[in-house]
Amino acid sequence: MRITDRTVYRQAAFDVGLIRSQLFDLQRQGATGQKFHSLEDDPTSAERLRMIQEAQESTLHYEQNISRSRTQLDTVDVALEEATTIIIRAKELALAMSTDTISADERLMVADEVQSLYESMLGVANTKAAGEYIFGGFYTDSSPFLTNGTFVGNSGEKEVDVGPSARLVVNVSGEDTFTVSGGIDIFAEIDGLRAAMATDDVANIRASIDVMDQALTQITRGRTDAGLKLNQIDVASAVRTRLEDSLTAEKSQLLDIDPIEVLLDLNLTTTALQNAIQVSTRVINTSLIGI
Amino acid sequence: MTISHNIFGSLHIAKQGMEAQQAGLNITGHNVANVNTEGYSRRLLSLSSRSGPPLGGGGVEIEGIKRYSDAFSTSRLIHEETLLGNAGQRGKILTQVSDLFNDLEEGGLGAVIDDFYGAFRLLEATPNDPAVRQEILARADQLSNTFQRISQEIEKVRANCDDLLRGSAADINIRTEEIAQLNEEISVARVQGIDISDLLDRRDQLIREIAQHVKVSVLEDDQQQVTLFLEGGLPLVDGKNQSLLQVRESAAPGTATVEYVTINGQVSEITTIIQNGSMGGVLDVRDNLLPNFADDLDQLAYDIVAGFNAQHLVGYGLDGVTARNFFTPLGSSANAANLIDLDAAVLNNANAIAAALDPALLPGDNRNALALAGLADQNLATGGTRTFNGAYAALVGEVGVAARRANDETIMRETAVSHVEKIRDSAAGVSMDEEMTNLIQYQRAYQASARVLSVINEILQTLVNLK
Repeated sequence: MRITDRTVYRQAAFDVGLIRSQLFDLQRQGATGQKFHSLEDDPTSAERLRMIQEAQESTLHYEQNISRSRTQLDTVDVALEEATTIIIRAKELALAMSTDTISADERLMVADEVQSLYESMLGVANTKAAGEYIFGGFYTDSSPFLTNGTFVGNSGEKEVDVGPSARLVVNVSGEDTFTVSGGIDIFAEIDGLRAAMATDDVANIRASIDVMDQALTQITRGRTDAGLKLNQIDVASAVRTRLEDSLTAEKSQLLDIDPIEVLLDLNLTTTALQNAIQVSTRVINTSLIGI
Repeated sequence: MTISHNIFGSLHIAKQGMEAQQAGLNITGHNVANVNTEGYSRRLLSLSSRSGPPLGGGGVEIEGIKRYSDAFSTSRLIHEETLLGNAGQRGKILTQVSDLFNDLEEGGLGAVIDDFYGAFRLLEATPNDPAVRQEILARADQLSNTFQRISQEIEKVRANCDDLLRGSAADINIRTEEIAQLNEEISVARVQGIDISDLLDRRDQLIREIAQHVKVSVLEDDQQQVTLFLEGGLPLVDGKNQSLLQVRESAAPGTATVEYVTINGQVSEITTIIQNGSMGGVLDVRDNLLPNFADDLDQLAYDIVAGFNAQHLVGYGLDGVTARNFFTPLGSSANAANLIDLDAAVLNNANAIAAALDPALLPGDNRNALALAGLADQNLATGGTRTFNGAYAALVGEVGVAARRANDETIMRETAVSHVEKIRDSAAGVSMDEEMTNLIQYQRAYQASARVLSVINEILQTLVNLK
């Protein structure tokens, strides 16, 4: 084929231009650490990336729900631990005051302590976590227990999403823990004990001892429930972390460059560019014009 | 035998020789001067020997100038330029569009949709937290703004396409006018016997430039007059007659039509006839691809509004009121991306967000918040086959693939054009080496003829000085 000057120049420009374009791509990859930068570079990966990004965002939202729920259930646990302490003390007092050698005056004085136990229990049942009452079901903005021990809360189970297709109940029923729906009306019983102390009613004081045991069982049930739910939250949290890691890995595989590979390619391509330029220069400079 | 060889005839032969070689030098100079002229075909002097009186020749005769053009590659180039023009234009426009959907950057619609649903997941945990409720309104606002922005940007690209069409039509008209003039000049020059190589080169170059914009077919008659046809057999140039292309504006931007004006001034619309070249590329993107993308975007916006409202209506706000829409309800998907907006009931009234399912269980009832957040995972888009994010991701993929395809095709076509250009250059291109050689050749021949002239002059001197 007859080769003219224009062909030579054009081919040189084209060849060098091609290598420069490759070099530019590698340069960008090296600088940003990403395999592609715009949609049309790799549309299939871009589509997949969008799905991964959605899932990653979701894991952050689940994280927040998990953390919040854990705080609430921890508060439940602590509150019910306090409730246990109160009941144990009440039982101790009942035991102590049930001996025949105790005087009516002594019993009268203990009645005061039982009253303060009642008030403490009321405080426990009306505990708030992050500004919300934890034993009132869906009635989170007002005390679930009135001063006279009446339950005015709600028995709703509150669920939150803690993972994709993972919804957990994150509250414990105040009704089942403190009222007769769970077995006994704890407030009525504590008040009953106080009254028995105040009126020197030994028979009822003795009867209270068993009742306090039942109360303990009832509260422990609530604590176990909280414990189980906390376990479920832990599991959800572990799953969430694994999901997050797997998504990060998948995104990285899709998007991130292998820096060593890019570096090697950069070296190769730079050398190729230098060679191409040298060859082109030599060819272009050779002609009959100088003769 | 008489020597009737005229001494002045010999002078004449020498003179002709010098003239011929000088013509050769001129042509070499012309070739060299035009080595970088786009579309130039190299010339070669065509000489033939003259017959003369019995004992000698009559010198040299300039037959003409041979123009080295390759008809095959010329017509092939026209074909390839049209294909390149089409792919290149599509690629340019679609690259602009794909920037709108690039979620690798901030503020992509996908991330905004994620954030919107995320706010509802937080609402699950604290349904009566005013800060979370405000956040939902803010995110919804951002969602509708982003939809509107993308929708309007697509419209802008469509309107831009009209400008591109106008530019192409203007470029074509300038060139067809010149081709018509060239046709006339060529016919005159032929009659006068003047060399028309430059005119032919220029005409070929103009046709090639027009071919970038639209598909043309070229018909050359035996008088070297060219008729240039547009797609659909419409003549753009016929002899010295030019037909114009014009672009008519329409009320809505992005709907301009292309018109063809016959020599008698008759106007007909040819928008759908133009399918090739860069004009065809613009029309394909403007009238097929962009409306599809815009429709998909509208459909997504509509699905979000419809799906969301349906669930929101059954819920109760913190004020115990139900049957409220979250988004302003839309009758159909038409223009939904521009119209998506917070409903007046919810705008500035965060308490109206219906997180509860039972007014008796306020404020902690979060069951509708759970349901609303759960919409993100249900197949409520694309006729019930995809999630919202899935539909968006599919749209992103669609745009990306279209842009990628156009860009890949552009590279392929560029290579094809380059290849045909090489073939053309091989026949018609100027080679400096050749021209330098010719230069020396003609120079030496000129010197030789001059020498002959000088010798004959001495002989004449001798004759004249004979006593």
